Amino acid sequence: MTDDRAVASTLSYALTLSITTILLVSVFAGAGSLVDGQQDRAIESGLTVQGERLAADLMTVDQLSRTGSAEHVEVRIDLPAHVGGEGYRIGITEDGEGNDIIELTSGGIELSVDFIVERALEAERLNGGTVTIKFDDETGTIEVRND
Amino acid sequence: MADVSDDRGQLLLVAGLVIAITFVLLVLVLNTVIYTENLGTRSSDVGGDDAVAYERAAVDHVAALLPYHLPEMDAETAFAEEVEEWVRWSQRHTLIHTNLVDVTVAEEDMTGTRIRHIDSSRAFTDADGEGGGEEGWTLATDVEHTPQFRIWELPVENETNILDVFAVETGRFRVVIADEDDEWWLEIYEGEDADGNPIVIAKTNSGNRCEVESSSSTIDLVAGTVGNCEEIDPFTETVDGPYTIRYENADNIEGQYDLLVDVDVEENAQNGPYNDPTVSPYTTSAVYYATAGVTYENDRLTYESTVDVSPEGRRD
Repeated sequence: MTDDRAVASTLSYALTLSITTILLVSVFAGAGSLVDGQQDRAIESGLTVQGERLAADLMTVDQLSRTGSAEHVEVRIDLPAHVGGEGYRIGITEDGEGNDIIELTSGGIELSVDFIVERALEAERLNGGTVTIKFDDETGTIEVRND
Repeated sequence: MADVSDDRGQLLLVAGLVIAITFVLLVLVLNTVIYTENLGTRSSDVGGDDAVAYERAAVDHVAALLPYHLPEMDAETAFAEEVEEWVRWSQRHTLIHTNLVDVTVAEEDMTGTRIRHIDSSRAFTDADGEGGGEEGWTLATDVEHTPQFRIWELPVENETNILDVFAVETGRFRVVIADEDDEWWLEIYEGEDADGNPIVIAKTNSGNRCEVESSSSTIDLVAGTVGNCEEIDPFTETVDGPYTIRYENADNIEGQYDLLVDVDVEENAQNGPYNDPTVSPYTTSAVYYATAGVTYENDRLTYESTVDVSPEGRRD
């Protein structure tokens, strides 16, 4: 009889500990995925905004270059180095149907922004930072590069 | 038992830390989102409208100065100074908004000629004294625009009656302006009014005529007026550029004339010879077309353009 004394308290303590641990692990996992999800959404909206800004400036340069007498048009845009705490890459290319698009990638997130220009484009892959969009009448093309 | 009681609550402490870190991370993400929203709602205008507006204002101003000529001065230099003065004014205005602006005019390509004859006692013949008679002489060819063409100081009332030659009925002086298809001419000769006083008669080939006293006998071929008489049809209603301007029977008139054409007459050998600017008839350079280099710069945009400007505005 004496060997069984206090077994109930120990069991109860072990059970409490297990349940608390399970609950805490759940909270930890839930909070982690919540933060991850929110971060992904923040990165997505951040990339979209940077893409739209770049697209707006590209179209501005294109329009100014076609006023008939423009010889040199240059627009400088400051893009953030990180979006949502992550670095990112920008590519200016064409989609399958021949439309101009800006492709933005950060980690596993990839999205694109459409834009329309009439001039030919010459663009390197870009990171954040200062980006220069330049039109020169001699070449007749719009050049996009990181400074 | 003492050791056990010290470890109690560790699990809760870890849980609290995890939740605190989660909140901090969420705040950081939220901060990023707020920054993104801020960027997204900021104006993306780089000032392209202002650049185009400035270019337009500059072109309008340069065009308003054209055609530019000064009686006895170097037209190119004076013109460049006029433009510079406007640029200084525009710079003062735009520097308030920290924009850099500039307009320069190229000194080449300012094609235009002012042809003058200011010796009232000399016939309207060319510099060699030739060009009288029916065959006449050509003042300018390939002209697209003649913004100014006036003839005046016709000495009808000259006491020495020098205009006997002017009064002859045959071989009247004519200004002939002709393009490929059409011809317009204006005869100028002396007549008499009902009281026998000498008057100036100007008549075009369409039959329109003006008769005025010689004291008010300034003939404006562009406006189609002789003094106060507005009956003359302007030549621009009949001929289109490019046209040729000729005088016939130039030895049968004396007085003064002054015209401005949009070509360099000295370049073309078909045009009559002219004297140096001291002896009539002579030519001086005029600014008819200008090339304006426009620069507009702000913190994000640099815009440079070169615009060819004529009196009508932009030439593209």
